[in-house]
Amino acid sequence: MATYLTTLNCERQVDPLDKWKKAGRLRRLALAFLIVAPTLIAAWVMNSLLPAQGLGWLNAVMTGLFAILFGWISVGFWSSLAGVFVLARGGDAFSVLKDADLATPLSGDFRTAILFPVYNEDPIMVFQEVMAVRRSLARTGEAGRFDVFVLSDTTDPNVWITEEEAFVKANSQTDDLRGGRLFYRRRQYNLKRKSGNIADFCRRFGADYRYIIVFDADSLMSADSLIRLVKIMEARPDVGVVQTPPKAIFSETLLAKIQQFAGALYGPVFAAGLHYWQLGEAQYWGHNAIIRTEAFIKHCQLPRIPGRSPLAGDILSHDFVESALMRRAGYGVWLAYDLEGSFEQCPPTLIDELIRDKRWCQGNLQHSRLVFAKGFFPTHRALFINGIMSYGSALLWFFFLLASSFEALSSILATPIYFPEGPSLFPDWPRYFPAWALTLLSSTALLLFFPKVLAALMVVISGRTKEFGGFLRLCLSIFLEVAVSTFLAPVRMLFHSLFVVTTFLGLRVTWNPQNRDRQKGLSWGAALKFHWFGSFLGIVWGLSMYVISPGFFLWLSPVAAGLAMSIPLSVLTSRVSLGALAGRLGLLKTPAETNPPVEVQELAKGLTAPAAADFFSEAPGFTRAVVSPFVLALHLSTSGKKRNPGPKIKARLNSLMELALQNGPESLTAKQKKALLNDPKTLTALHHAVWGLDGDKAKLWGILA
Amino acid sequence: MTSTNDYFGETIRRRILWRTLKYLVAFGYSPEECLSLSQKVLAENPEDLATAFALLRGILPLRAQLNFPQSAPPINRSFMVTDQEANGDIFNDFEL
Repeated sequence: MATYLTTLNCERQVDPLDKWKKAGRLRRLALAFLIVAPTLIAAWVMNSLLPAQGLGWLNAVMTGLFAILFGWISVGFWSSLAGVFVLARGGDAFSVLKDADLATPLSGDFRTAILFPVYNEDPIMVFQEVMAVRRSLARTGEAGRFDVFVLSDTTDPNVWITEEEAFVKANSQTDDLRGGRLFYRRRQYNLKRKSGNIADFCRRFGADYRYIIVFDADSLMSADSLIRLVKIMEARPDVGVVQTPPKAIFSETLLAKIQQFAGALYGPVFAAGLHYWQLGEAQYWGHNAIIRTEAFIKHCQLPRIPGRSPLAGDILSHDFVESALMRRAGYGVWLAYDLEGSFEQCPPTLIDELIRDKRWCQGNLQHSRLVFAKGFFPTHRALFINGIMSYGSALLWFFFLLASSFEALSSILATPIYFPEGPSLFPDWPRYFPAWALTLLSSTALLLFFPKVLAALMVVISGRTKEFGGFLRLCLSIFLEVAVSTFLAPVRMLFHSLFVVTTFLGLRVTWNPQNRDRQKGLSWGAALKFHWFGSFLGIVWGLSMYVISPGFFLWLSPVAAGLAMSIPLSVLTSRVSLGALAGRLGLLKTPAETNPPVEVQELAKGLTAPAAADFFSEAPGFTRAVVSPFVLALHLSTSGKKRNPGPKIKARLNSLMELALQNGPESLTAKQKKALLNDPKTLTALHHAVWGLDGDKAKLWGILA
Repeated sequence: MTSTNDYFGETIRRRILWRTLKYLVAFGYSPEECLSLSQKVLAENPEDLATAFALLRGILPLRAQLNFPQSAPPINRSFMVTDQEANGDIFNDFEL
């Protein structure tokens, strides 16, 4: 281990490009000042506005919470302002893209692996994305330098078989793909989830690839951006990771379209701002990024967090930690804010988004154990805190609102003391500073909304309003986005607060979002199940404050209204029909919709093309693997060599086969189906026996006549 | 006039024919091959479906199209880090 650390220290010293580090330190110092100074002033104003006769401890708590929240939203504000500065100047001198020689073709004997880690995702979508990327690469003539790996951690037996079929179909496409290869590997045991999946690839095949480009199951990148990423890495041996800012595509529901629009309009400014102060100490977001394979394997293995607390064990949000480890090893981690051609998809409904957030919340809170870990750079420690605050701020906001309500309640119920104890020349009148209150309110609103206005202005000034549907529609879309996100903010706050509390208490809350029809969206019943508490809280809270303190009710009304309306908001924003209506009205348009890149067009075409049907294409994957001789042969070919099971396992497999023959495939659980799929001999025996079935038993397998 | 036995015999032959055809089509055989292989099975006069499929398996030729693509390249572990606890040192000491 000592040798290992010495190596790290040496690597840090030989870093040839020190200029960005100095600039980064200065920029971060300026950012810290811009956050801290206004926060202190705002906290002082806030403290002055609180009733002097109120409870002292409550005032202190409220001022403290306000200061943290004000500082937190200032980070986003100043990042956006920095982004506007960068974009208005036509770019940043330290843009990592500037180092890449874009004119000359790639040279040298090396290959890059494009990884698609998947977990029970729609295989048709995944392999259409794979093909869109491969075709894009083939057009550039560089396809031979890239191999694509679909790395499956899928646990659903039906999806597993469909993935194998999609893999063969994708490999049998007649397109000229010019040397690029496509592989499919499924792990039987998905240890350490996605990070374990990537690590498994690295251990087995990583040495053959100088770089890996990690995709998500819903990612898409153009060949141009992939090649640029490789060129950056070739030009900058000191760089370990380059992250691209993906833009949302293929949104159908109203919520997803709103998120897509917000990402397209505000995203570039925010990404440029992040680049401005992070420079080579940026973060890896887990997908749409290129990684230097050898450095990643040697330095970014994830340790287990010691202890037994809810925050111990395997690291869940691996990407932020991997970027910190990469930087710790001396390599730069950059955000290529100015690289186009990187795409992803948004969660379609609020519930889907919250389920994802629950996972992210656990992961980010776990990083509290890493803030003070050994060897990390200060920027990454700050970014860990930033990640924690992404969810922690919700709980703090909730506490702040509760404290404010309590303050309002106490100022109504408590008898004012005009003549305090001790000698006094004048009575102690309650003091109100409406002008200060308005200043504070407008300052907070400025921090929240001004970046959006600036981003829109950037689009107007650069003459790109047509890409967003024209000036009027752009303004209407911003209004719609602001309105919906304002009402959804308290709903997100409530859920994020719940996630933080349950994570710290070590409670497991499992949600199963099965009540969603792709076209109709979320059902009212499912929304009621998820949001009844929020609605109840919003109504009770709002009404109580209206009765007790109408003045405070006005302040609380956006929060109470958002919570009270969470059921209809969740249902309506999940509707594809409303998303389509917005599209017909020309609202929420994005450049990727107005002028879709070739890769996006091809993917859309591939997804709408009718799939070739055969006798068993309607049957679930497991049934197809048992019945169709072709699918069975394919499955056996990808299964690899298996050990002969012992007598006990063999007897269990035989009893499963008997059960399947007697009662059909639907009588088996997913675990039982996987056991059969994992044993070639029993599966082949089942296949033969099924074709010999007669009568109703044959019908259970879809075999008639 | 067809006897009862003949009637059932004809039914089972028809079932065998349809089911072997369905099997062979799913396997990717051409219509001509499907018909020829099914006729070969029927020529053996199997008494039930299970026997028919045992016969079919005996006469199925190897299919060139079932050479499925290689699902993974050869393993190359030369970058492998043997220390399974790599980076565990970050928790050893408190250090900023």
